[in-house]
Amino acid sequence: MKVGRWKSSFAAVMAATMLATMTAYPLVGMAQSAKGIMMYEDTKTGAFYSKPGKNRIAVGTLYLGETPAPSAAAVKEQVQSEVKKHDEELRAEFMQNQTVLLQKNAELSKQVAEIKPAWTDYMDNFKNKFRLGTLIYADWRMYSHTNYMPQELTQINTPGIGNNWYNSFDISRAYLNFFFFPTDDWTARVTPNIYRQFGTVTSDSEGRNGTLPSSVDGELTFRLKYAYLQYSKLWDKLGVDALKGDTVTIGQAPNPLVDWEEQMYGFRYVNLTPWNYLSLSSTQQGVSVQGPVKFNDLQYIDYDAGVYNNASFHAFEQTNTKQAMGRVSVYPFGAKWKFDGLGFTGFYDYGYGNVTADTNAGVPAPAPFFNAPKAHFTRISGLVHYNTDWWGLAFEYDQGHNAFTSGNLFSSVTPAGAYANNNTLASALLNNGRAIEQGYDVFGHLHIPNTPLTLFGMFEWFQPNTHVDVNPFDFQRWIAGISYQYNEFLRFSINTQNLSYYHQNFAFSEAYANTFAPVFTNPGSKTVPNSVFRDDHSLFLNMEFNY
Amino acid sequence: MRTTNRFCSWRLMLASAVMIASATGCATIQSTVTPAWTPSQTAGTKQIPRVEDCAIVAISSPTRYACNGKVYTSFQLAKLRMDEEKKYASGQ
Repeated sequence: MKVGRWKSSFAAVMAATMLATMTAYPLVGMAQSAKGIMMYEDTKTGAFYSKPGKNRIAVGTLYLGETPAPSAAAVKEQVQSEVKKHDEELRAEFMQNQTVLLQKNAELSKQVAEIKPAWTDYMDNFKNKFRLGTLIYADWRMYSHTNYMPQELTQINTPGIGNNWYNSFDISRAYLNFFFFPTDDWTARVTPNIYRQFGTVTSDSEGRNGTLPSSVDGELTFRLKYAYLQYSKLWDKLGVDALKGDTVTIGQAPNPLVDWEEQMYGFRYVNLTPWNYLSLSSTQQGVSVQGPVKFNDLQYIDYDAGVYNNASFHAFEQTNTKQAMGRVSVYPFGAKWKFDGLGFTGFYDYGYGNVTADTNAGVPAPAPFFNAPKAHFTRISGLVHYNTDWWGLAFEYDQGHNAFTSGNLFSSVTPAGAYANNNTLASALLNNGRAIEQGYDVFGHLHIPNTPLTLFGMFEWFQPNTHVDVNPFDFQRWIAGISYQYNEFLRFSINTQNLSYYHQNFAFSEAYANTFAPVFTNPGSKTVPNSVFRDDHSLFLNMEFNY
Repeated sequence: MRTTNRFCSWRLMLASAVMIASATGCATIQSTVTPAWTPSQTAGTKQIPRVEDCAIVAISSPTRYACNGKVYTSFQLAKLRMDEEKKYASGQ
């Protein structure tokens, strides 16, 4: 082999090696090309040059001044340093995470500690939407003279004539008032109340030779007095400022007159107001609207009107008609509170007897009352009243049509036995479907300054049927007493309650009675002797607890 | 028919007298329940409305009373009275 060819071959191999090296590290070569020196090989001599020339070919770039490769110890130290640094970073991150975790745990523990039991949360909400109250009337009463008459208070009764010095402890009211306010515009009320249960009952058999004693007759038990929903934002939404807050009531609710008059009188725990004493229930089932009409924060009108069942709240409605009633009270000078100052009140009630529509349909109505049970009834009242913080006085005129039956007259006790004919006479004069009632009342109270004592009284003169020449059942009723206000929730009263059938006693002609309703058979010249009952006088001690 | 001795009955009058005397006597009995009216309270609470000086607006739960043209509930009146009694007792 010639030398020239050997050299040439060697140069080629070197060039190839360098190129291969550059190919293996192309990024390095490219990245550092700016710093390196391009090398050239003379193909004839094999010498390397840094400049191009004849027979020189570029073989690659030579890098000068490069850092020498670190030693293994240095590499190890660097690796350890890097590992240590990484460990420290991990530790720092871990500690930071741990701190955050501890902080979150502390917050969570605090939240858990502050969590209220579910029942506590429920009760907190409940107490703002719920109100529970009670109203209790109790009395002790003693009669110097007993008589046949209406009840002085609901749920109390007396024996008839001949039971003087009868006395009794009574509970005449025991409300459980539940008020629920689910929203600010709706109110729900449910109020059970006691009532006295009377009626003939048959003892239940217990085995072949025993019976269980009846516990029904005369027992005090509970029934529904009020249950209604009341909406208070109707006029607000309609933009009628004067009627803001007035309500729409649906259900079994207070009567428009009775409830209002009881509040104005203030002594319902002692005795009933006139129409309530006679026949008008304190509760109605139906729909009604009520509230004040105000201008500049003064009440000029107060109203309550509705459509109701003809039946009372404790009877089953049988009619296909309904009863309408309404009360309007006008305060010409404006009232700062509900009864403040001078007021004029009118009340009207129109309804029908609570019998089914097919009663006596298609057949002659049977004697003695014919179609009287279907007859309409009316109640009208006009009142003038004046009230201040410490005294009040009211005058009332009443007129009615078929609004006072013998059942109402003898709601306390019904004449029977020797007095059975008096009851028959009363049914003829009062239940005939054409009776006109008339009454005059005055009631009021006077607070004795700087004492907890208030004097009060009521007088009622009532004629159950003005069509009768001399009606033996015309009566005057009067109540007078003093009330002691123990505190904001408790009152006591001592008072006397009296009823006088004020006509002189006489024998009532059965024939004349039959002109109203033929209740007596073969009357001829027969009479009902002692048609005018004796008076009734009693002493009452009353208590009211209201919370 | 008029009775000859209806309300003038000596027994009724006697019973009434006993009842009135009993009621009067009860006012002096010390009770754990504070009555709304006591002589000291009268002297110390002339500025606050007292239930016995107010008119009934509504007998309900709670009962509402009108005093000097303003309406209070029985609970509000009770609180006003008890606060005033505490102030009076502490000599303020």
